Amino acid sequence: MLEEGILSLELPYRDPLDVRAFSFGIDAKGKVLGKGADPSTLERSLCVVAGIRGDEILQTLVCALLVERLEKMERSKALVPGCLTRVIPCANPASMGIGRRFWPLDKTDINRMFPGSPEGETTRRIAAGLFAQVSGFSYGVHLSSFYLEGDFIPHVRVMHGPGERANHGADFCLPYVTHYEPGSFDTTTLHYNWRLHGTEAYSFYTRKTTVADEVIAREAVQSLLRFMSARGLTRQQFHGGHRTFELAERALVPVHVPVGGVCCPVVRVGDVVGRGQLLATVRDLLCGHVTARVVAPCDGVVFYHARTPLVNERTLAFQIVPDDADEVKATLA
Amino acid sequence: MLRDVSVRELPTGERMRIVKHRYMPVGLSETEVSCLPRACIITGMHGDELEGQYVLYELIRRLRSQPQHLAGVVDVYPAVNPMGMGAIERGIPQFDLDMDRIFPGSHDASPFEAMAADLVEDVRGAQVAFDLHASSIYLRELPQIRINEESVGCTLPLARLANVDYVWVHESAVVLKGTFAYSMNKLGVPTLVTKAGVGMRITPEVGEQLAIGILSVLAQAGVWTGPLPLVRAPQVGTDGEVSYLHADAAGMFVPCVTFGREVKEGQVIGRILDCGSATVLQELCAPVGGLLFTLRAYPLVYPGNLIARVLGGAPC
Repeated sequence: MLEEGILSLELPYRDPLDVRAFSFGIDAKGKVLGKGADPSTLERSLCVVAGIRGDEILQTLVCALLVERLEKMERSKALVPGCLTRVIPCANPASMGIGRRFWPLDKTDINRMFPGSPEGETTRRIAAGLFAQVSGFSYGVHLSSFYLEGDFIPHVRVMHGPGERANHGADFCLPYVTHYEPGSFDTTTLHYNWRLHGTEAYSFYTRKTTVADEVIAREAVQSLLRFMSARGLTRQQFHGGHRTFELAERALVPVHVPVGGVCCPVVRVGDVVGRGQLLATVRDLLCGHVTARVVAPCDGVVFYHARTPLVNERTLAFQIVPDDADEVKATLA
Repeated sequence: MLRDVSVRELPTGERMRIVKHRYMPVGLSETEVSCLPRACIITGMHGDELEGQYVLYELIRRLRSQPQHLAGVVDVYPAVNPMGMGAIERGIPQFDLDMDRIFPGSHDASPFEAMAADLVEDVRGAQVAFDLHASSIYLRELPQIRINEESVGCTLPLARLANVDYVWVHESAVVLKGTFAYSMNKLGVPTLVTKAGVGMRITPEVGEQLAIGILSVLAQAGVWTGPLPLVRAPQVGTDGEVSYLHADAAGMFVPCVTFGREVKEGQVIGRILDCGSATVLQELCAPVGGLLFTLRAYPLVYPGNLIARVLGGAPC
C-alpha cells in the first residue's frame, strides 16, 4: 500500500487541507506501483472516491474499510499484477472535520465544481487538484449522497451521456441499478467529468449517509470487491449480493406529502407495500392533529425515504419502485 | 515565537489548535523574561468578528518597529476559536454553545470546554489582558470597552487609557459569568473587553485606534516604554445612561445619519422601507440626544431588532 498526500491547500487559522490517497497494486515483476503511477498506462485501474461532502460519513467509512481489506488482499497476493486501485476516503477533510456538508467559508459544493480550475475560487481549485489525481483510471466509483436528506436502498446510478462505453453496474450485485439522463447541474459533477474523460464511472449510493454503521459499510465494501473481481482487478471471488434490477430513475414513483408538518413514517426503505397502504402520517406541529395520511399510490418496494422530521408541503417523502416490471423495463428503452 | 496553547484532534486527523505568538525583549531567554510583566491579547472568540485581526496587525507592527521599547512580554492569541474563524461562523462548529459563555472551562466536559480551560491557564498570571471583539454582522459599534462594576476598581483606570470613545460599565445583574473576561478578572488578571466595528469586516481606522490604545495600556503595565500619541478621553456611562431604539416593522432599514456623531432628541435616525411598494413602514427617531455609538449595519430587520443605541439617557 502506498499512502500519499494528493492535495494540499492552506486554510486560515487551521491546518492545511490534506487529502490522502491509498494505492494498491504491483507490476508484472512484483514491484509495488510507486508514487506517480500513471493509471492510463495500465491495463486496468480503479479509483474510489468518497467524502467530497463533509457529512458523507458512511461513504468515508466504506472507503476506510476497503483500504483495510485491500491491505490484506495485497499481502495475500490476491490483487492482479499490473492493476492499480486508488482509494480516496475523504476528499474534503476541511468540511468533515467541522461537521459541515459544504465548504466551510462560502458553503459551495465541490461536487458542483468539476473539472475545476486551478485559477478559480477555492472549491474550483480543489476540484481541479482532485480531478488531476483521479483522471485516467479505467473505472471510477464515487460514493456520493443525494441532495435530499434521506435513506436509500443501496444502488448504483449510471449516467447516460458523454463517454458512455459500457454499463457494468450490475457487477456490484446491489439490488438496483438506476439510469438517468444528466441535467445541466450534473455537468459539473465528478461522475460526469469522469465519463467525459473516458473513465467508466458509477455513483454508488449507500443506505445512509451521516452515520457510522459498520454493518452497512461492510455490505458496501463487499459490493465494491465484487465489482473489482468482475472487472479483473482481483483474483479473489466474493459471494453474496443481489440479482440486480435495472430501471430508469424516471420510473420511480414519487410520493409527496400534501401539507407541511411533522412526518411520522410507518414504513422503511426496502419494505414491500401495496397500493393504498399507509406510508406515513403528517401531524400539525403545534396541536398534533393528523393533517394528512400518505399512502402508497401503487404496489412496489420503498426505494427512498426522506429523513427530515419536519416536512413542507410537497416534500418528497418516498420513492417507490413499482411492481409493474414490464412498465419499468419499458422506460429503460 | 509561535507556540501551541491547546490542541485537540478532529475525527479527520486534523488538529484544532489555539496558538499564541510571543513577543519579548530582544536578547532575553524565556527564563529571563519569566519575571517581567506580561500582557495577553486574545481575539477571534467569535469566528465572524474580524476587526481584532487588524488591531493585532497594527499593534505588532508597532512593537516590531521599535523592539528596544519592549520591556515585558506580549502574548498574542489571534484565533481562540480557530474553527469558527476558518468557517466565518460565530460559534464553534459542531458545538451549540457560544465560546464566550463556557469559561472558565472544564476538562471533564467537551473538548471545547477543555480548550477554554487551557486558555485560562495560559493567561493566568498576566498583568493585563484584552479580549478584542467586533460587533456582529448586524450592528456597527464605536470603539468601546465594556467592563462590569464588580471589577471597575482595577479595570476602569486602564480602560480610560485605551483610546476608545466610550466605556460602558455594566451592572452586576447583567454581567455574564461565563465570559473569558469575567473569569480572568476573578483570577486577578485585569481584563478589558473591546467591542468595535462590524462583523465580517475590517475597519482600518478602528484597528489603528485600538492598537494605540493597547500600547497605552501596555505602557501603564510596564510592558512598553516607547513614545505614545495622545489618547482620547472616553465618555463613561452605565446601563441606565444608554437608550435603545428598536424596529417595530419588518423591512429594509436605511439610515439617514452619520454614525458615531451626536444626535438630537427626535432626530430621524433612519427608515424601515417596504421597497416593493416604495412605502416607509417606520421612521425611527433618536429617543434622546447624545452619542450615537451603535447603529444597525444589516439592512433586513424584523420587528424588535435593535436599530441604535444612544449614550445620553438619564443615569439611574
